Amino acid sequence: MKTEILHKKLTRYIDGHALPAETKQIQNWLSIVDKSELQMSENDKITLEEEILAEIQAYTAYPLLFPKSKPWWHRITGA
Amino acid sequence: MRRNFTPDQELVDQLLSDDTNAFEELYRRYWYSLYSYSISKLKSTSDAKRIVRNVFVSLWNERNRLPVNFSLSSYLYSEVRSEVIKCVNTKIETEPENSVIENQILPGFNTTELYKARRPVTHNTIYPKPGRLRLSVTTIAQKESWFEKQYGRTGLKGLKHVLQTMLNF
Repeated sequence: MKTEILHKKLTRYIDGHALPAETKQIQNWLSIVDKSELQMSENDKITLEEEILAEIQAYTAYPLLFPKSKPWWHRITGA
Repeated sequence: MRRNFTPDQELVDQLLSDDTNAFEELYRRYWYSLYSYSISKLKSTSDAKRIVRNVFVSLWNERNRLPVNFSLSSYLYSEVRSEVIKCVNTKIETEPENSVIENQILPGFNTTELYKARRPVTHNTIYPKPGRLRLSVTTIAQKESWFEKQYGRTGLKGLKHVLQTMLNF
């Protein structure tokens, strides 16, 4: 398949105008799961997890709008 | 790392009261599977990262509009799938000469590749397939007459009933 054809099919799919065969083709592609495991060390995983979470927090600003209340023992000890 | 065993549904309910801890717990549960799925489809870490971020930003923003009996995993996966399609489409539009699209993404849409998705789940080989248990009519008749001699007609009927129940199980 050529790139232009795929582009047309995907556009129709996004707009909800794809033919049943096209929808099936795209959904089949989406359902194929690559079994090769993503190689990532535990440290890299934690770093990335925190990185994405920080981005989410920056986009939603929830830490500012809904600050976490400190646990009672922190309030007592002033930590 | 501290483990939280609260069910997803309970955490989703807590989102309604703007519980940021519940949101972060849901994020920690799902981000990696969504990220690896996106990478497997787009072959790009930056796109995968952006998609995971957008999906969770949208979850937080839509938390008050989530339907009743809402399945979080279905929601997250359908969002990721839709983002993946949009991303591929945008890439084709903006970078038509992109080698990743031509060499890695485009071949995935070929009929032979897509055939993989239609294959049925393979039968567990630990147990024999029901078809393999089939015996010839003569053998069945011989076995039945032997059993009838040993245990009588009622015993044979009972055995047939038990076998039928087991095969239908």
